[in-house]
Amino acid sequence: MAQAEPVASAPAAPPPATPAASAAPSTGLTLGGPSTPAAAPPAPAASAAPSAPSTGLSLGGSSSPAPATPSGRPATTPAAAPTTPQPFPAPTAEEVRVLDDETPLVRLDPRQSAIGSLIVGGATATVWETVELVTGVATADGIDGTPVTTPGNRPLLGFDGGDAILALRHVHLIRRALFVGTAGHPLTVQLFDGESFAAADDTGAPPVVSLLRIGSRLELRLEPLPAEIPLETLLQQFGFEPTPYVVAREPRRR
Amino acid sequence: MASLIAGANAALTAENPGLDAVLIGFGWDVIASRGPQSEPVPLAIMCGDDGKALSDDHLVFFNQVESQDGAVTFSSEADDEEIDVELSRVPDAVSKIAFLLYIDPDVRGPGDFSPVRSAFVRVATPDGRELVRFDVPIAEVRSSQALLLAELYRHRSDWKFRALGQGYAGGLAGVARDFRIDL
Repeated sequence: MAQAEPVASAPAAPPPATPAASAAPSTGLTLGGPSTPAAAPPAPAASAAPSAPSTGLSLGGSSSPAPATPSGRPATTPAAAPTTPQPFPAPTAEEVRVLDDETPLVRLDPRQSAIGSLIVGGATATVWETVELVTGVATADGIDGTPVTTPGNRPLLGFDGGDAILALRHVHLIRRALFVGTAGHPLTVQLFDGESFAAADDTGAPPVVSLLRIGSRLELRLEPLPAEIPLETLLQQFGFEPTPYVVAREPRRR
Repeated sequence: MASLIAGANAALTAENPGLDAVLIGFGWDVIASRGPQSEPVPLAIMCGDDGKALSDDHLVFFNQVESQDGAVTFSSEADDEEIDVELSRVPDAVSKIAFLLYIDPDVRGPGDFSPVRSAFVRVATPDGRELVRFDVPIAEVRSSQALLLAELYRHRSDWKFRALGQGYAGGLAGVARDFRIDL
């Protein structure tokens, strides 16, 4: 199942070996403006909520012809300031117990999205893609692609004690991720504030949960798959291409 | 520039006529480690007369960079991190703004201030002139997971700043309970 948005097939320049991000993430502060931190990728087309309201940007101007003034010329309507599109309504972590065919989507609030660890139990593979399109995969066999280490010396996303853990202090580094489970067993998601929920595939296929960062919020979605498919095929269908891992070498000197 | 000790307070607007905005700067020095590091995170909570957060939207940190009213905003500038307060825009319902520093509770530890050598919070004018500074007595709070550093509070028609430096052994859970917020 291909992602709605295009993904670069290869970076223009070789990525750094273990890209450590800057010590303090840029928040792109706008005084008095809407609360939007570091630039986030545009949200993919909403597919989980058919009745969701439109989130398209409203550009200035009236949709109906402006009434004519006494001079005969149509009155001009001052252009309205463009508004930041808000995401469509989605269930919160408090409202969801299980991600399934009926409720495949959950959206975390800014605090749940940025404090402590997002812990996914039951995963056999996890995939990450950063805002710089650095991509990697972690399984029990090791890591393919490029690992990403945060300024706090932790993997941005990786396995620890059998759980897949996302370091939320550096949530602004992540663009999207994937968690792959085992057929017949649910994935479990645990947040810092104690909220937790499961993700179960009713068809018996391995549950696959995608994670997307939209501004300051994380969205997790149960992805329906027709059957158990190889991890490599899954990565291709979601548009993940592991970034070649280049170990930094000492500069050559005379 | 005044240096405060824990418990001391300083008049801001009374001593600086025309002051309508302040920068709250946070800084810290963490002992370098090859392993997982403690990561301090500043947080501001806008409180009512009861000392509780007005709402979950009345807190500001790196992933919620602006309060609902736009009066308090987060940025990353000369200090490790900074929170800007436009005093004139702070709603009347806000009696004080509490400034905290917590260690990000990643499960892959460490989770307290023991690796933090030093930490400070300072108040400056928008053009960077430092008004007051509080160097936190870190030795007293090393086992804490969150600190209540200081607060900006109304005193009659003026604003004052009080240095605190109190530790929360229960970390963010204690903060959430005391300020009645969802964290």
